[in-house]
Amino acid sequence: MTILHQLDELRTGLPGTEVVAYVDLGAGMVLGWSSAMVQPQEWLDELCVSANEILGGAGADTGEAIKLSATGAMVLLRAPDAPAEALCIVGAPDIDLDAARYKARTVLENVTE
Amino acid sequence: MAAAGLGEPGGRQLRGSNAKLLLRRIVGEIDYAVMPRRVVIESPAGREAHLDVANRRLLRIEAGLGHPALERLTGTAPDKNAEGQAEALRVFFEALVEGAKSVRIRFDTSKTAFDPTQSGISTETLSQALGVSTDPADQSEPAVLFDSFLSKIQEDAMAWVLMLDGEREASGDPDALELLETALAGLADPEPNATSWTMLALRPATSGPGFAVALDLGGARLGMAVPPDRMGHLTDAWRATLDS
Repeated sequence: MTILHQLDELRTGLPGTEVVAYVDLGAGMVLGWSSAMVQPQEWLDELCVSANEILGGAGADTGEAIKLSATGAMVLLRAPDAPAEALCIVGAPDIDLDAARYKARTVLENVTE
Repeated sequence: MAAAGLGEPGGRQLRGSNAKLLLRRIVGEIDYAVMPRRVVIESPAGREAHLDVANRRLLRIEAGLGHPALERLTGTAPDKNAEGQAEALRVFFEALVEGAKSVRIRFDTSKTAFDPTQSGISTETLSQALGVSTDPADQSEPAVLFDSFLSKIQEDAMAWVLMLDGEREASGDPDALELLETALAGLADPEPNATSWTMLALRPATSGPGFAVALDLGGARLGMAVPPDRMGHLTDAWRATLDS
């Protein structure tokens, strides 16, 4: 299964998920993404900036992050074998965070195998 | 900085950014009491009040210590028709919370042998005497929401730090507390004029037992050290706090 198929599967299998993206923190670019709607490039660029800020950049020690507010949720997991890359899930504020983290970890393990 | 264990039997803190809100919260605790119990309230200044309550009424002030206004009412059974009663109650409760932004409250439910002839005063009458609001909007204050949230996450948080109105309070496992303080020091201060809330949870890739969580609301911050498998429950508890 390609990485894009895995991102699609993660998004559709997790209620409340709007976008799943695989980002290169060092380069500041989205390597692949899944969304029910077409996302403008500016939005994807902003997503990279946010992911970098929250995880502290490509070389930082933060491996996992959750940002939650009244309007939305973002779950970030750094790839264990490629620390400059991370999986990013953006969704509704009531998204199942435990399920999101578990599914994201599974995708990352497959991607970096 | 205090560092006590979570869920300690000595009661819990009631917080309020001002005296009126603190009094409103004390009245709320009396309002919650249907079965007879003794409510013991201790202020940081060493003032102490013992209140016998039942059926959402204040039946008797059994002891009041640490201030002349508190000691004067010892052994009193409040009566809304007694002359000067409202003024005496106001002076008593204001002396209890004077200068405090939090008080410790604990309950003794073994005190059930109250005199049934004492009708006491209702929480509605007490609210009027104290001049405190019953406006539900007060419930969205950071102090109130964080109090309620902390009572729900006793099993989740290994340690917590509360930064509220320029004061700092901490509790929990010392090692977890040290890691939490380090993680919080790396974050920007909470936005002072924020009208909404944000929660940021960070977990190191190579070290540390779990997430360091910063919950910001209206310029206040609650930091928590949380094991990874309790994050879902923690966020559920916060949502439940906002919905209640």
